[in-house]
Amino acid sequence: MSAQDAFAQHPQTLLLDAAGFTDVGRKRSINEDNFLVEHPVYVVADGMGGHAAGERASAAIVEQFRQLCGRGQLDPAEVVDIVLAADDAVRDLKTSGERPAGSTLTGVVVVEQAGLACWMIMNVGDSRVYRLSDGVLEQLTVDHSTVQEMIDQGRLTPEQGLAHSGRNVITRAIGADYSAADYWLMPVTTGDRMLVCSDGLTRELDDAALLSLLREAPSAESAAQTLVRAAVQRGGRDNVTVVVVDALAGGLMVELDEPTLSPITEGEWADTQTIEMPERVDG
Amino acid sequence: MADWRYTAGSVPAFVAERCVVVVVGDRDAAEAIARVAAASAAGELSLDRVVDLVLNGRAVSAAPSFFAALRRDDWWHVVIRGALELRGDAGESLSGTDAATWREVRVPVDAELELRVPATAEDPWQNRGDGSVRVGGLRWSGEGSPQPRRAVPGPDAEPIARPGGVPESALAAVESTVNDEAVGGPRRRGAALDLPSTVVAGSRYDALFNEDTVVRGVAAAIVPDEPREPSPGGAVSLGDVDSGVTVSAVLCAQRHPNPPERTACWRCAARLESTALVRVARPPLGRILLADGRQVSIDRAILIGRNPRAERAEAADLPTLIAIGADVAGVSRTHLRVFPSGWQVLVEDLGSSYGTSIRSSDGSVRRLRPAEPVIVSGTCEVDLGGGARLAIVEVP
Repeated sequence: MSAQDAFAQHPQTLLLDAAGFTDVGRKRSINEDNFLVEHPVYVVADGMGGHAAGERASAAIVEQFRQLCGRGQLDPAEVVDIVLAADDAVRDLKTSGERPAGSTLTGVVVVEQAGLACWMIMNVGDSRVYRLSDGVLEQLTVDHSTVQEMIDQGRLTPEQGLAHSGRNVITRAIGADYSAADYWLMPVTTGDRMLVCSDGLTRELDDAALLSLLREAPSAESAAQTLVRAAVQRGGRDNVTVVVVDALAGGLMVELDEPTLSPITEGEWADTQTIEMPERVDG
Repeated sequence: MADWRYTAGSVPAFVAERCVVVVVGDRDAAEAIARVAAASAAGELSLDRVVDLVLNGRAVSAAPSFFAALRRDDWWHVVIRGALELRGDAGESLSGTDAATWREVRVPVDAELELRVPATAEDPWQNRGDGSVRVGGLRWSGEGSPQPRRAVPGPDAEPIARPGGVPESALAAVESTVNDEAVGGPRRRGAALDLPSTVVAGSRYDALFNEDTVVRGVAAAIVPDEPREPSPGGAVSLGDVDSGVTVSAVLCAQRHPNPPERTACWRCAARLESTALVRVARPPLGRILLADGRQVSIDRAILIGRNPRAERAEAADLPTLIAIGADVAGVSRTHLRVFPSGWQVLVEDLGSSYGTSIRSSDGSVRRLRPAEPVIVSGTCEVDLGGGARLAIVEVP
C-alpha cells in the first residue's frame, strides 16, 4: 500500500518526512559526528576524544538506537533505557583500551502516550534540537556547557555567551562522569519542522540564519542539505551534521494559522515514511 | 500509655491524651488551635476533622506548617506538613518540607520521637482552654519506657507556658538533658518538661523515615463508588506500572496495597485485618477518563491541555501528556496537572486562561486557584475552561 493510500484510509496516520546530512567541514580531517534517521529515531551524536575515539563513541550510540528503529507505539521509558545502554556502550569502549571517549547525544524519538504521538526530545551535551512551528523557531534543548551554566547563573548574557572562549566546553557527555540526559515531551503537531544538529552548525549560523533557511526549504531533505552547505561555506570549523524531520500530517491540529511547509507535490510522497497510529488506546 | 511532653515555647499547640496538634504561626495558628480545642471538648476528633479545622477553608498549598497526632488502637496516626521536623533518637528525620500536601506516618505506641518546631516570632500567649499551650518542642516516649509521671496537662493541670517563649533554648535543654542522661529517670531542667530516659537504639523506625508520604485526602469522606474486582492472575496486585516510587501500605487478604489508615480495602472492599506496614511500589492511584473514551492511569504526573508540553525533565520525572479540547475554545495549551503524591492525587490549574472547576461526587463544585493544587478522592469531574471535561475515578 502506498503512503497516499494509507493516509486516505487512516486519517490518523502520522506522516513524517525526514533527512540527514553530515560534512567533515574545512578544518577537521575526521568526521566524529554520527546520526540516525530511521523512524521513530532521529538523533545526532558528536563524538570527542581525538583520533578515532570520538567517532567510535558516536557510532556506538547510534548502534544502540538502532534497536528502536521500526518500532511503533514506543513508551518513553524504552527511550530512557536506550540512552542508558548507549552510555554503558561508550564506557565499554574505554575499558577495552581505547582512548577516553565521549559523545554528545541529542535528538527526537516519536513516542506514544494514550494514543497521542509525541516528540520525545533528549539531550546530553551541546548538540541541539530546534522546532519550527507556526513560523517561529524555538531552541528546545538547553546546552550542557560551561557557557550555558554561566548564562543560567546570570554571569553572562546570551550575547556574551556567543563570543565566549569556553563555548565548546561541555559539562555532560555520554560516557563521561556526568551523563544524565534531559528530556522534553510535546505532541507532534502537524506542520512541525524539527531540526537536530551538532554544534558545527550552530557555530556558523545564528538563529536568524537558521530560521530563514528552514522556512524557505521545500522539504526536509532540502532543508538539511542547505543548512550543512551553508555552515561549511561560512567556515566549517567543525564537523556539521543536520537532521530535519517534518510532520506532514496526522499530528495534532492546533493553531495552524499559517502553514509553515510548502504544499507537498506528488513526487515527494513516495519518500515519506508512514506510521500507523491507533485511533484509541484503552489504558 | 504513651507520653507526650513538651518544652515551653511560642508555637501554638493543643495537647491532650489522644490528640496532639501543633500549628506554626501567630494569630492564625492560635485560632486554629482554639478551634481544635473547642472541637475536642465536644468529642473525640478524627484526623479529617483536625485537618479541616487547621485549614479552615484554605487551599492546602496555603496552609501553615502543622503537626497532628491522633491515637488509634495501638498506634499513633501522625501528619506533618511544612517546616516541622520529627526526629527519632537514632537520627532519623521526617519533615513535611518536600511534600506537596503533608506526610503521614503510622507510629507505634512504644516509639520515642521528638518534634522540632522552628523558632517563631514572640507573641504574648493566652490560654485558650484545656490543653492549649505554646510549645518549643514536643517529645513523645513510648509505652515501654519507664515513665514516672505524665506531663500532659489534664483538665486540672496547669498549662505550662512562658509568655514570649524561647523555643531554641528550650529545645537545647531537651538535647542536653538527653545527652546528660545515660541512665536514670527523667528530670526537670528549667521550663523543659520531663524527658524520657530511654534512648531509642538503632533505627527501629527507619521505615517511618523513608520516602514515606503515607496518606489520604482531606476529603477522604468521599469513598470510591464501586469496589473493584481484584485484578486477575497475580497474588499481589501492586498495579500495572512500576512508577519507581514506593509507599507504605497495609495489605488486604488478597494483598492489595492500601493507604495505612484505611479500614476497608480500596480495591476489593475487604476489611483490613492486618495493620502491618509494608513498603510497596506505588500502584496507579485511579484513572482519568476522557470524553472520547481514552483512559489514562494515574501512575505519574499528567499534563493536560490543548497542546501540553513537558519542559526539561529528568527521566524519572517525565509526565504523561493528554491533548484535549482542540475543537473548543477555553482550554489552554498546558492547562492542568494531575499528579500523585504519596497516596494522594492532586489537581493543579497551571495558570490557564479560563480556569478549572472540579465537581465532587457529593455535587459540590469548586473553582481552582492557579498554582494551588487541591486533593481529590473517590470520583470527581473536572471542567477545563468551560469546554472540555474529564473524570478522575477510583482514587483511594
